[in-house]
Amino acid sequence: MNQIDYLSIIKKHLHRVAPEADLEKLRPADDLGTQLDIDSMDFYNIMVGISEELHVDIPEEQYDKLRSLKAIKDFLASAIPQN
Amino acid sequence: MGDFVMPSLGSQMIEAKLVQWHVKPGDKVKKGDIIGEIDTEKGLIDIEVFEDGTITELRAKEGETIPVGSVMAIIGGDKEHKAAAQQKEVPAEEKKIKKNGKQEVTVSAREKRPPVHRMKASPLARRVAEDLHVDLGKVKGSGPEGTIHKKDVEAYARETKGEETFKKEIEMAAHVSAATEAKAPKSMRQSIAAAMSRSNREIPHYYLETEIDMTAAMDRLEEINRKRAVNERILPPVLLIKAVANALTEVPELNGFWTDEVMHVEEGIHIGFAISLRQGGLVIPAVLNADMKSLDEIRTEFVDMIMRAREGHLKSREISSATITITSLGERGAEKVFGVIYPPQVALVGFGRISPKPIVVDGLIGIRPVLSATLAGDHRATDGHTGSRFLEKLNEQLQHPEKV
Repeated sequence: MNQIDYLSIIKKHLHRVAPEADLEKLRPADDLGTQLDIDSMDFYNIMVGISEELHVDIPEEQYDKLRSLKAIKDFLASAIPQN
Repeated sequence: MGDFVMPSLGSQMIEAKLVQWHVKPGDKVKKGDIIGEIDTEKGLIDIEVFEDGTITELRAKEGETIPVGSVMAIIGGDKEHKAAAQQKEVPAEEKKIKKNGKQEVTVSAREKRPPVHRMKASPLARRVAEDLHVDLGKVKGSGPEGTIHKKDVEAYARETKGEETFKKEIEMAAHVSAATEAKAPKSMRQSIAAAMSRSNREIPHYYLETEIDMTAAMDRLEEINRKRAVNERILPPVLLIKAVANALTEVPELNGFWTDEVMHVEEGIHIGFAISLRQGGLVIPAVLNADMKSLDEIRTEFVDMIMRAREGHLKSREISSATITITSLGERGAEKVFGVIYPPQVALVGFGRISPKPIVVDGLIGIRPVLSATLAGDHRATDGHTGSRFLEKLNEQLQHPEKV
């Protein structure tokens, strides 16, 4: 099966929640909170969007670790079985 | 049934631009329907109707700037009935809308009736009247059809307040107005500046703080959330909104408005929640009747409201109804916040960051998640004792989160 483009899905939801943020400048390991000024409710909304689109559960205990593009992407890659 | 007027979404608002209509003449509308979108100092706001009816005429044009209180559309049919109702209602209404402060709290009530506030006044006159706390209804206009101009307001103020008070007020008003006129495009900044200046000028604040052990609350949330999908989880701010609402049912003195030198305790508990916008500024939409809603209902509304605050689709009712405000710094913020009350409200609850701290539990030092909760109270309306009681009740709520 095709590789899912997690990065663009994550960015899509980032853009939805933070339309004014410049996602081009965002580096994979940047902390989303400090770089984009995203608070916990925004972050939560991003998680909801991603989990609904990809039908994946993101446990709350993981939130603290999922603070960068790379961390979210790696999590999704490991949580979603690849065929 | 009747005229739909430009709503007032805050005491500093004098006009707004109609961006677009979502309806056309002949359309049937139901209470709560969004019929258009206006551009205000609080961003783009969806305007709702408050009664069922049919749009008979759209008076305001898209792109047009409309003063608060002016007729934007006619809803319903029976003209004669409407005119008669209007004549009867006007005197009573004018008494009600004594001050702008009062006007802003009764937006919804006001829109249900035929409008009222028909006195003609220039925008500048309205602003001066607001700054000088003059009741426009009492001012005689010198312009055509009795239109009130700035000089009429000033003459009235000089006459009723005496020369000295008048001069002082003019001076203070000048500061606000200068800031207002210098930066026309930054209207949200101006509106915050005006409201906060007014607060600092008029409200004698007192401040209280308490530290709340959040162990029980966080455990409870974890327990609730463990079984839930991502989109159904309850986050701490939701619990805090509900806890504040519940505490207010026991200490209602802090829920309402200080207008006309009197405290008006409001029955509905509408919790405003300050949301800071990344492009600068903030909006304070309210969760209406939060004390009557379950955590899940608040959660759904709150999450939705935050998204709409970002996109600019808050509803007029949400933005003008708060009876108290919460400001919360979130998980990356400072440890505590002492807020500035949003007039004419009389209290503001400030939440800092929840962080682990050493505190004494049962005679031993333990590390617990601790939240700083502060209260800024209007000393004209309540005393520290009341504020203190509120924080105590709030703490009780959060120690027994299963009951919240």
